[in-house]
Amino acid sequence: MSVYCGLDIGSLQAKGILLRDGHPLFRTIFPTGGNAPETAKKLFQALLEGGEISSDEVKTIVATGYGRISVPFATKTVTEITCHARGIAHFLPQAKTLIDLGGQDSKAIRLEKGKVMDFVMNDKCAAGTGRFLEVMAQNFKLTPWELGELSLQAKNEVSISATCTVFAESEVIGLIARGLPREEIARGIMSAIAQRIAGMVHRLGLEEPVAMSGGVAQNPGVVKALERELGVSILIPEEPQMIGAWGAALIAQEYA
Amino acid sequence: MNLGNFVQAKLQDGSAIRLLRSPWIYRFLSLFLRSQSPSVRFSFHLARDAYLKRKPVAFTSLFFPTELVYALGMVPFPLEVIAALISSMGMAVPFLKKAEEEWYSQDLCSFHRLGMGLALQDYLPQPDVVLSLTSLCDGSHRFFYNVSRLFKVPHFLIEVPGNGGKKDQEYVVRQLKRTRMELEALLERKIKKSDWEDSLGYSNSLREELLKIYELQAHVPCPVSGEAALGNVGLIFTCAGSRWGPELISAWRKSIRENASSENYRLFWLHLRPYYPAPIFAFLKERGVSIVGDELSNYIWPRLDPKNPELSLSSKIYANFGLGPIKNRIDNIVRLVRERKAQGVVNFSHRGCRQSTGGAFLLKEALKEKGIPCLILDGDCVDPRELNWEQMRTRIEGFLEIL
Ligand SMILES: Nc1ncnc2c1ncn2[C@@H]1O[C@H](COP(=O)(O)OP(=O)(O)O)[C@@H](O)[C@H]1O
Ligand code: SF4
Repeated sequence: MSVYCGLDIGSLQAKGILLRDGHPLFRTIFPTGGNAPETAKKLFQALLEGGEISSDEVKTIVATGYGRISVPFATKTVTEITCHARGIAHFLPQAKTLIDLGGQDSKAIRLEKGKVMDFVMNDKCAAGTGRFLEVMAQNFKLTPWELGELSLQAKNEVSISATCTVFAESEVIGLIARGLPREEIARGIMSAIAQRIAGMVHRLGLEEPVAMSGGVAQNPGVVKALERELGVSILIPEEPQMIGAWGAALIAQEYA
Repeated sequence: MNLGNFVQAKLQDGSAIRLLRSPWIYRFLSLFLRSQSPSVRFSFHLARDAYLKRKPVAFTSLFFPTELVYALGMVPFPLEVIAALISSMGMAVPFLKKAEEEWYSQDLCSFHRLGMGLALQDYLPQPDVVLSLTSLCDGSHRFFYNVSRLFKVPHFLIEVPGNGGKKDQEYVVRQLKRTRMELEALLERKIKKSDWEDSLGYSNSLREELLKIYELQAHVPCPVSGEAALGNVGLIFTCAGSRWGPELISAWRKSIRENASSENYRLFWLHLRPYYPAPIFAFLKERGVSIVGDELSNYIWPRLDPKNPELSLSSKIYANFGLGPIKNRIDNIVRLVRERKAQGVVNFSHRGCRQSTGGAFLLKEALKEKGIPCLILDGDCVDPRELNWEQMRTRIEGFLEIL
């Protein structure tokens, strides 16, 4: 029985999955760190160990994510745009719009029967990505997830006007120092991200159902803010951060 | 000796400012001229005539009809093209920084920012006049006006309104005539019938040569390098009206070899490309992508009539399909996409350029209706500090995967 592997070497986290018979055999996540080729190798080793198989049993490997070219042993590389689309088509085939929020970039993807019809990526700056949330959360001495949870407690919102990550950070520090309610600032941060993402989605044209993938889809604050901003409810697969790797493994299986 | 490398080394070590104005250097370089390509020889003559002031010098904007400049016995010095050239030598940043230090915002088009940096560092020859059009670019006439003030020379601006209806043409013809007469007075030289015949005749031959290149671009696989075509845009507009024009384009055509390598995708390119060293075209080649044409090197004008020079030049100006309502541009793009059998379109949205970015959305929507996929690729043609190659690569790859 053949095994297929998907490796999603992201800007922050490297995700890997092995599929056998279309079922996951093993999956894991590593921080990408400064040495993507080394991380990819270790991730693959870890998958083999976890799946208790040898590398010969892996028929095809598809690499995706920013570090996809750092995987010399991959059979094929495919962009995260196509992989996320393929992954979401597996779990939520009804989705017509997919929002992928990762560590350093965000994408809105238009889908038609699981195929990418068009996409928009964020501009060169990191505002509106996971990295933005991490910087903001540090000011509260919280994790991004905790910051998201905190934002859900707010009834009102303190709006953040700066779009630049660095300026938004000093704005937030100022707001905290002025003693404004922390949960309201947190909600303002979530809305700031949501507005950026909504702009990209509208450029493609909002078509329901809307699904979300990428690590940031695990942040309840961001999801809520996006639902508010777009006026729709958003479908989230069980493991949104693994969707790119899933897609890569499914493509590996089809490629073979 | 490779003349290009030599000049580049000199520009980089800063000794070029003096060298550019030294007759000796041109005498020395001319010893090696015979074996060089026509484009190097053309650039040599242009630089020599301008820096040694062998002829009156006109700073020109990209779309200014250089036929008039040549007919007047002047040498054109196209600042935006020079900016691209400096950028292609990997030397843009110090000049851009210089302009930024003098309050030229990073939001301004980098072709103009770099041109201003060159002017402020005294790298440009002293012009006699500055000639520009309002055609297409709204930053350009302000930039050229500033340059004319810096060098204390007159600025002749031709306003190009509307989309070339009868009244528009008449208005442009009047301005061209007045500009011609004022220049004749300034230079104390009248354009003779034979001057127009030469200049417009050369331009017509250049046009014939370009049409042959377009034919080649429609071949499958496409033998013409898109990178080279985009690189030649400046040349096409600078040599029109000079005896070099037909020779340069014919040499380009003769250097094109039928392409046997596999072609996976055919794309049509809008606006310009990055001129600084960037991996984009090597990457496209590796993926088997042919750029089967671009809107600027495919700018074609009606044959010019020496009996009616100003009207001819006005129709050349109005042949620019970027003028007028965006429908013009869209219709022409669709026509070229079909002619060249392209599968999709890349719009290179140059930062700071209103005309290449402003219509991007309408363009994308209109192309979508016709079933032509369009990638909006944000970037900068001149400023290498603006390049985020990883993002650009993902965008291009994602687009190819859709195709
Ligand atoms: N459990 C979680 N809750 C909230 N956010 C999370 C969680 N896990 C990861 N993230 C966020 O997801 C981002 C990384 O997402 P990912 O899709 O892996 O990006 P990339 O592929 O660019 O590395 C990080 O910014 C991180 O803050
Ligand atoms: S790139 Fe745009 S702004 Fe710059 S010179 Fe060309 S038309 Fe003008």
